[in-house]
Amino acid sequence: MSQKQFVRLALLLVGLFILAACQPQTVEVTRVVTETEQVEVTRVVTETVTEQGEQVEVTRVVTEEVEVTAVPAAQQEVIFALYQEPQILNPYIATQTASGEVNGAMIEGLVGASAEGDYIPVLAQEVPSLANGLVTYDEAADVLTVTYNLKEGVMWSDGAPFTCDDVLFTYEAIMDPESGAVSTSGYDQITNMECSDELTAVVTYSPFYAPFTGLFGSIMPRHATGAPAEMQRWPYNWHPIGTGPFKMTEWVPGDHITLVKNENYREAPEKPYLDRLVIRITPSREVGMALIQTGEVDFVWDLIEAVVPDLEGKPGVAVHITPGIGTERLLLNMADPTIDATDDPANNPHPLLGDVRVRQAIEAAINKDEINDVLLFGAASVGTGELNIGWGGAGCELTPSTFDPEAAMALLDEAGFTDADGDGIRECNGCETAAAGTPMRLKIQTTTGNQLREQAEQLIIEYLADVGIDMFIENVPSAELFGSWASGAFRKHGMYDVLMYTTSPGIDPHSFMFDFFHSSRMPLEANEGSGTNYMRYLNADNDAALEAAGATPDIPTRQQLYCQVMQQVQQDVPMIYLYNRAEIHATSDKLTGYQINTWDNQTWDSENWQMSE
Amino acid sequence: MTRYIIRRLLQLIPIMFLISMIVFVLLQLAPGDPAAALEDNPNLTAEDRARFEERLGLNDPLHIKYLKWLGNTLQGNWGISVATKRPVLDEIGSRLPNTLRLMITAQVITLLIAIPIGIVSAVKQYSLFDHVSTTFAFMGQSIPVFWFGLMLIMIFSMTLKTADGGPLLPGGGMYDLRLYDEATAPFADRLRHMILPVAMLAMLGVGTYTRYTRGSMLEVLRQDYLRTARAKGQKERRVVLIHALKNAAIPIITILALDLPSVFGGAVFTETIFSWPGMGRLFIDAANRSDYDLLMGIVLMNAMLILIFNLIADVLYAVLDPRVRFD
Amino acid sequence: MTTNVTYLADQEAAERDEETMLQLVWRQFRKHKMAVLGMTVLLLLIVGVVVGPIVTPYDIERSSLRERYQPPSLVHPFGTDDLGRDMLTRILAGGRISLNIGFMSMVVALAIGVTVGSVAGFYGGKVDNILMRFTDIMLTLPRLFLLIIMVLLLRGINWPYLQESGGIVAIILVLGVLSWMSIARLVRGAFLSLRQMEFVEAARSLGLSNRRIIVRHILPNAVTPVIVAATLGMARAIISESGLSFLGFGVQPPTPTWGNMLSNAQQEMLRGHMWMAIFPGLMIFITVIAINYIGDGLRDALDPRHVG
Repeated sequence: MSQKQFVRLALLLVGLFILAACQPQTVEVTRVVTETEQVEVTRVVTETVTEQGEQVEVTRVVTEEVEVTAVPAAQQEVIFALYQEPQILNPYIATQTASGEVNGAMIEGLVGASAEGDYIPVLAQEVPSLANGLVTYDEAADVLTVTYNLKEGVMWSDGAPFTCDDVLFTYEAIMDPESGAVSTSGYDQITNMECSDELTAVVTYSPFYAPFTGLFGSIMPRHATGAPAEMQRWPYNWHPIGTGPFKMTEWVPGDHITLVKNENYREAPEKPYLDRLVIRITPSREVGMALIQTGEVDFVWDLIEAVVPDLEGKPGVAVHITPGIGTERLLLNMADPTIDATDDPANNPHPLLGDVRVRQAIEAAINKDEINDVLLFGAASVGTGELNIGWGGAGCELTPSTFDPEAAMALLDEAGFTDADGDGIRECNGCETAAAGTPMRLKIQTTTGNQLREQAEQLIIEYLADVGIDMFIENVPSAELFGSWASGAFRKHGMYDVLMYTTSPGIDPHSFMFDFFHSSRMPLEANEGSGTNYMRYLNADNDAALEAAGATPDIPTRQQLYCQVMQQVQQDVPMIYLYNRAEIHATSDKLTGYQINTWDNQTWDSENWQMSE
Repeated sequence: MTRYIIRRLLQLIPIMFLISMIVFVLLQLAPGDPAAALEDNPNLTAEDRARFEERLGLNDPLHIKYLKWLGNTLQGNWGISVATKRPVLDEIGSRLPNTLRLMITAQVITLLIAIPIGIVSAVKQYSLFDHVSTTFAFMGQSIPVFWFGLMLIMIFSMTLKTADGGPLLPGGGMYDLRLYDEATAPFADRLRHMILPVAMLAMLGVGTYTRYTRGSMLEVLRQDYLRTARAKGQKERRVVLIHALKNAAIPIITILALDLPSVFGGAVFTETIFSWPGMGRLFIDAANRSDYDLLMGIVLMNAMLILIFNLIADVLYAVLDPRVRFD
Repeated sequence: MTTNVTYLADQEAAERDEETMLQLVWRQFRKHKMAVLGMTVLLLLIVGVVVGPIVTPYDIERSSLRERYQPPSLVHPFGTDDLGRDMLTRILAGGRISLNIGFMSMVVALAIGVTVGSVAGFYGGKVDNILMRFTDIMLTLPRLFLLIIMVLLLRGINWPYLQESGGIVAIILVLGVLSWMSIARLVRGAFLSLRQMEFVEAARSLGLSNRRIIVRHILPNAVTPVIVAATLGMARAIISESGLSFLGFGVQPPTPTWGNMLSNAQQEMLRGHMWMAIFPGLMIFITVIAINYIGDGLRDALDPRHVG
């Protein structure tokens, strides 16, 4: 090959790269006309002309002036800023909240949750309950039967009818061992499931399963998915077909997802009111906040308390706040952190935190009100326990801890931790759980890159320094903090002092109450690290109460038992509840029909959204 | 010549193999765990988790994992992103054009600015222009590129506004979502959205290339044959443009290829700051969620691009410089 | 005996030469006005970051919530941050760490680079081939990606010293381990040309060990380009650290560095707290440009060809 030829080849290669880079630029200009105006239009016209008795086909280019009128009632659209890109939209594979926000506008379930935290019927005609006779419990045989009457005339967005067979299919897909559904809990308690007719589903559980109403929150179509064993590879996962008000037309990864009106929605053509709902992916909340102020987006999802003052009162912006389900808490390790996952925390106590007086002292030393007022601008509420919200805690009075450094110091003195050497840090002088002379030095860990948590950590360190406890930070990425048993994550293996993060309970309190506080739920070698009792908290009364609560359908009994457990937890302080997060979203003040909902995705009522002029 | 290229291509194979091994081992030793994402879900049981881990092969020993991975990769199956469950090649494929579009535009602009400035600086050495441009080049090399990007947003998107109160230049996105989608977005609107990210990325190179051009021009201008050309009575402009530039181009081409890793690095920052859906941001996302296969894929794809560009540069170098022989 | 005598004579001569050499370099360096300015700025910075945190009335880490987000004023010349801490104090304290990381990672890079380069250049042949291939591969890898992967890796190592003070040591190691390549190449290049020279032959004929020849006789001659490369490398390391911290893979708070002070900068800037984004970046910029000018001045002063 000559040199010249070669240069040409090289240039060609470079050119190919450039071409590849420019490929998606279709040069097709669409202009949105907002007012009536004169536009020059060039057209290619083919017409048949009769010329001297002969028919001749003539093609010509015509340029003419046309008056173009704006589309009447301009396109109604909402641009929804999401700072987290959904990775996958299959509701039984996705683990992110952001996925729910997107498929919430497309996918529906049998039963949903209202803004008040009550179950509401969606694809079912009514919520099954003992009262309406759709739930029956045979106590002798320990068999629970739940019947769903499905709404008539519902269609999938591709026009196919929705029937009980789709509900059955959803169950099959979740339970298929190959399908890789993220969670099968609850569904694995189902002993039989059948369609007694096209629109009636009968589900049988045995033994009794208390939180049954929360199941079947999303229904998948049999005809538009694939074989259950293939679920991980269904095209549906990135392009779901649902019965909801919108359907997807475009997903440009990393940039946006375009949803348009579902013409087959059961309330069409009136609803949804919007023509388009565009999900714009932003790199952070703050970018979304800047965009809503310039009017570039209409909805900013999931804001934190600290930014409320930035947006409140800004022209064109409405801030929506409601008490949220998440509670920011400290987990105190009650077992010896040098032992890998001990099953006997009572005899291997944490040298400092193993003493209940130390845990109580830490709680008393923390000024929860100040954290709420200063860091959260008073937008949250002081934490008391797991039952701050929802029906599980109804009628349960839990008082917040009082900030009292004097009492904290007295408790520490009493526990045998005093500052004998005068360095400002207490050490063990006659304490019960540590070797003499052990200084009160504790490590606190949370996820990196969370500004609010880092700020709270700083404050906590200062509060504890004031009572003679030396706390230091060692934050880790969330993947590491929340790592699995197999990966040796220190949280699972109990090798930490203090952790800080938020957990959001579900609508039914049973699973999380049981998993946090029942002694069998300590992650151990024996149970392959299952359970979330990371504090290694032991209390026989609580164990009994939690077991009883899981075995009865009677709501008041369950409520009373959960309350009893929570009151005991307040005494024993395995966790310190810092504050109850608020659920905050901001919208354009032109958006109407939206109601904030901490129990569901914010797109739960997107069919009602409208942009007023 | 052909033989030279074939030999160079063959040499790439062990290098890619070695790179893949280094990166794979590093990634496997890193902590964090794709199953961690499941922890957000309060309804999850240990069995659910165990099934998840089993399915991903998270519990295999290291060398088995590597061999599995290598076998699949050689068959064109680069693995599945743990997070999105989509094939790694699809993930990269949807982002690579965006990154390349940004990078190539930025490189072209860089050269269009840097080469003329470098030439004038060299020809008029020690003039005021030379001093000013050298100072600016120095500043360009010293400015942290991500900070420069932040300042661009601060000035052009936040402070300066259009008549209707919108930002003068968009600080993110690829086109105006209110008006267009992927199919209909016009070139002009895409261009407007590229101005700030390209400016940021170009900033990385302008200083460097100005200095290189100036340096190699100075070197060439001292050479005897240019004196000869001048003595022969050729016009100064012709001497500079034809003779000098042709010779000065050789080192610039080398730098262009060697500089590629840093441009990819710059793209990470640019894409993060301007929410540009490219490979750089994909990498950061993948790193934050321990998406091993995806991380591997991105690093390998980058390494491959860099090696190929290096090869092209080497060959061009050889073609342009008659002193180099292929053997 | 002969060896010793020669060696002593050598050393004396070297010391004498060094003195005049240093003076010569300084004379040349002084001519480069920007380099002198850079040196002055850097010295001032060093004094500032050493003395500043001691004399400041404010605490580096302790928050003061009532004074959050104060714009620059006489009391807080650079304003306060999201926890009400004085930005100037933190910038000075952060500068100490950022400069330290820049310097120490260059020491690591020098140690690796000089070793690899000397061995390759001195022995040549197969050793050289293998080592340089490896160096080339390292140069080819996308550096930022590898930096991040190595940071992820080191986070998993449970060696307390590595993670102390926000993981400073880990960052130094990572930066050092990925920055030695150009130094190795320079050292090798110097060796290849020097190894054939007469004084090495002479040393060898005197029966000196290889190690001694490398350390005593060749390395001092390879020093010039390495000093320049190391200076510029230090500037690069400071930028790399800030970039890593900006992306959240660098030094962890509350330990301040210029980089991690900028990690929330985009968010804070969008919320109107512009000073939080401006000042740390400006400090990086000033420091790096000062060091780059010093490097430039050194190159001119040390390189005999670069006169004028």
